[in-house]
Amino acid sequence: MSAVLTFSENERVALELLTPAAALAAALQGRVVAAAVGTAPVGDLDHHGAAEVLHLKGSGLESFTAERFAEALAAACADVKPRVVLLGATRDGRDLAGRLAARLKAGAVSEAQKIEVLPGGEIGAERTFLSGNAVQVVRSRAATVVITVPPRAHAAPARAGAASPVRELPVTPASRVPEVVEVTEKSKGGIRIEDAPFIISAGRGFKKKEDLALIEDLAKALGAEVGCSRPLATDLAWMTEDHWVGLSGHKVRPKVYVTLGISGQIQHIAGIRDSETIISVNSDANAPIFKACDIGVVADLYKFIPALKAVAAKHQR
Amino acid sequence: MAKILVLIKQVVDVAQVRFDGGKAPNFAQIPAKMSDADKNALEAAVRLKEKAPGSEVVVLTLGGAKVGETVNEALAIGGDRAFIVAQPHDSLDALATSELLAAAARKIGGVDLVLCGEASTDAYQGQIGPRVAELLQIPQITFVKTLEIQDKAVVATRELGEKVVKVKAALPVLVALVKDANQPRLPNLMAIMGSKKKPQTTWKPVDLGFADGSLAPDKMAVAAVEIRPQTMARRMVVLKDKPLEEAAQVVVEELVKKGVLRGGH
Repeated sequence: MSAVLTFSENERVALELLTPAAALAAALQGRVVAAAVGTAPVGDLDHHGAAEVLHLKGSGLESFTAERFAEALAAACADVKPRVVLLGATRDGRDLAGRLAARLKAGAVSEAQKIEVLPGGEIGAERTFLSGNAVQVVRSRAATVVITVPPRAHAAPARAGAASPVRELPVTPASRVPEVVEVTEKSKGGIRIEDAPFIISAGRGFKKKEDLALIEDLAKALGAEVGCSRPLATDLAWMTEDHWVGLSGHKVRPKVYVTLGISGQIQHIAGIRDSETIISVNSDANAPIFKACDIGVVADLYKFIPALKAVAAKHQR
Repeated sequence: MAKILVLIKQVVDVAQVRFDGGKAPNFAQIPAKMSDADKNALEAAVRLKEKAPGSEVVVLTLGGAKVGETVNEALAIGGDRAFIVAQPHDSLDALATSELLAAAARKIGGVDLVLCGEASTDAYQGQIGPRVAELLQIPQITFVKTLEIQDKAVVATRELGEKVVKVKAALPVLVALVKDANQPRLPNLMAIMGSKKKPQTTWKPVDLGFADGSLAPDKMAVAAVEIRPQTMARRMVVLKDKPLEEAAQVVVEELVKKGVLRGGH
């Protein structure tokens, strides 16, 4: 039982999973089996080094439901007998992981940042704990462990010339599932904050919604995307949720992350931890953000923004 | 009328955790509280009951010595009765926890709707809801902001970031609520006094059919072996009382160095 089985309903994450899967399979002296579920073709999944692509087909798998996809993947596990199942830590992936693990009577680790095979053969993993305050180190020696991996934590392996063999496995999921009544797309600025290399985020230091024009103007001049902290996206609803950076918003990993008027709640810090450089501006010298940044400026953001814009303009000439 | 089971978890107050000298604190000494999203689930249950008199809100938790505080709070907020599964030790994994909760739910019986938070404030794994739903063989509706019961079915709106999805499922069903789905009420003195008369039942794992020793720490599928502080390897150069232009200059130089500043127009 040394195979590693991967699946994500998100095409891009499905490819990303093949990177940690290959490392684990090598350490376990096993093989990588990439699962695809549903009627759609397997896409590019068969060109990224998996020993096999297992295509689970059956009625009731046309669109994602945790209930039925868990049934399909349980059938895949019965076939492949994996030591580790890697799923994407997307919303759907999280729903699926719990459901599948319960079905398999297996342990599960959510949002693992580091996964390794320990000398004794146990699977070790690390994950964020206590709202980002701590790291929890876990071990599993169970026959199968289900682990979710955050999107963008790994780059997908390079496209391979040779195609992996694709094998079809018919499944017959029967679980009762909720019926979708209505889907409402939220209005959004068309941004994917999680992919932005340069982000400037606003916090409660902005006194009113109209003042956000200052940060939008600054971001435009400097070439950054605009983000925000939780209250601006939720309670105040000054910005749409696609701008929300934080543990339960979007986790970001830009080259530079600038905060303006963000105090630095641990949930916000947890969402920006992977940024290369963090620059923070806040009027309160005791704000926790100053313990989590590379460069801090204690200043009134209303005065600092024009100064920053002016100095930047000189360099941009 | 519906029998609503709310799963709640007592967690350490995350804001009060301190790592002195990089050492993990004694968690038993840190004040405990009800996990945030679980409190939203409880509030949602109480509101459903207020709309459909005759409904019952049953609280189910699994916990250790201090869990009574959280159970009392849940009853004061509006739970009608509580069941407590006494945990044999504090390192139960999600597999064992969910199997105990599902066994308790079956023993309570007749549950139409199971409510819980989408994930706990401390571990934030989000496993328990989907696991319990699978064990009870019922559908799950997760990341829910609002819900109502209509004709023996739940209609709920799921908050999925870029979209809101309204779904419907016939009872019984499990619904996991997002944090801040509502504003949980603060119980008044009357409610707190009244809660003391509400029934509480404690079960041991053996009462739920789990053999002695089957839940021992070394039987856990996933063992937590260490908790260490998140290291913050940041430079923490804080500029205070500097002229604004000078501070801005430092920031701009960093932007240039990192290659993110947009070039001239």
